Amino acid sequence: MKRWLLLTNEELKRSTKLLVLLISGLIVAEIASLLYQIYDYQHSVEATMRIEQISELDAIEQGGGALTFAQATNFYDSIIVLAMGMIVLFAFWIWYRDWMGETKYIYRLLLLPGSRRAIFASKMATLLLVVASLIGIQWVFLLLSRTLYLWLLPDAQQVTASINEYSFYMKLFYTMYPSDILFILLMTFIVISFVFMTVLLERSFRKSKAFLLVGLTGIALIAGWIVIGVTLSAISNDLSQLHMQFYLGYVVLLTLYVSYKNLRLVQTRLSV
Amino acid sequence: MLEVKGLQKRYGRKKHVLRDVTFSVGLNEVTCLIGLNGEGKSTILKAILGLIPVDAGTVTVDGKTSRDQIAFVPDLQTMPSYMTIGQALAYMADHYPDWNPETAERLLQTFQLFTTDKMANLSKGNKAKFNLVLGFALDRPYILLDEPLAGIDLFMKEQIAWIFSSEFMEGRSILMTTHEIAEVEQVIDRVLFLRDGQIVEVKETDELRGRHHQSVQDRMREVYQG
Repeated sequence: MKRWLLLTNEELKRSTKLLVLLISGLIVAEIASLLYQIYDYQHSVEATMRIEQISELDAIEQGGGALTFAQATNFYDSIIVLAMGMIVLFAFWIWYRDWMGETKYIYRLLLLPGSRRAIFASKMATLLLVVASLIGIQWVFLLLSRTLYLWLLPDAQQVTASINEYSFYMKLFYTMYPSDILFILLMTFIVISFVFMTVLLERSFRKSKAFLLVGLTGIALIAGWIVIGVTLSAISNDLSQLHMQFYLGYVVLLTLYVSYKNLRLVQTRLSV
Repeated sequence: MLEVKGLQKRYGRKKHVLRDVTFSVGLNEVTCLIGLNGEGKSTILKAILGLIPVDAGTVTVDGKTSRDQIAFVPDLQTMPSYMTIGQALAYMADHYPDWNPETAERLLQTFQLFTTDKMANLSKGNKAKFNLVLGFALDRPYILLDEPLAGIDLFMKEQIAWIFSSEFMEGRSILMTTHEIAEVEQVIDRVLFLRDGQIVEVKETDELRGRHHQSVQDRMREVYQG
């Protein structure tokens, strides 16, 4: 446990610069997109008023109504998806930097006394902590964005609707329920487990065998979806509505196998 | 005793890197693994340490398969660049129960390294010295060194080679790979000549010098140049 905590601390320290850059980038992009949407909306209202020689309220009416918070934060979805992509890249980088960087830290890691499982666990914990902190930052930043939206737009141009009128991704992040956060972390664990498996297979075999095994796992993921769908439909139409739930269960089982495989690779096959 | 028996390593079907490598290293001796580039010297060290999986063979230390009696001094930097020497020492103390801070302190003084020095700013020679500190400050009887003298200037080499005849060698055995035979020739007890992934000859240096009136370098020329 102590080793795992020490290694996780070390991984976080080594990633600090990159994470600060990622979080700053996320915040700057979101602020910029919010300001752009507000400026663009106000500009179009003013232009309509000037050209049509009508009042502000008429111009707002003609433009399709006041700017909702969902519209103002239209780009947030794309930025969050981009951040998710960065997290996946980070999952690759957290391993490869130990081999490819100026420092060959992988020697030190693999030679540490005790089980190598702590190395795997520390990298996974780092990823989960990064995602948890991003959720927290996004949560706070959504509140700040709303304040900014209400502050910058005149009353007539804003809609003081419920804060829940967000898109799919934002609802996912702006949650009051710990179970939602656990769900995001479970999804992260699943995705990262598959990324780690890809890296560990490549670092253990470094040739066609690695790609073959990654390919087989990909096939297992796709085939599972098809087989479960066909089987449920054959049994009953009612059951086919539960396709996603059954598939999620299948993916969780597959992830457990992948995690076991990952730990075996770290313990016995991984090489410098 | 460190015993290596029947080590086999292949990369793919064609490249046979190690072929039935068998040897042992006794306590209080310095053994040097010699071979041309790409003969598998570093691969043997990595296999002993479990840093690469092998296809066959065993490595035992005093009859046990555990490697916790072996320290390793690589020829590259293994501590993150942002660390200072002091932080790296703290890292070692946190992770290794057999870390000896007094030995580390004495070695730092000997090599004139300072705890405030940053890893990223160390010269190649100082990095090599610091690697020696990290290896020798572990209370372990067997130390494996991979090219400890590679790519550094003459005076640094002399300082580093000094350690092999110093008090830090007490109760220690060394297995090292090096191309810089001249600098360490006087402290080597035994030489293992490696060719095409096989140990082709084992020579005691006393025997070489006494009976054959040869230096290790002379013998090396004969083995590799025919």
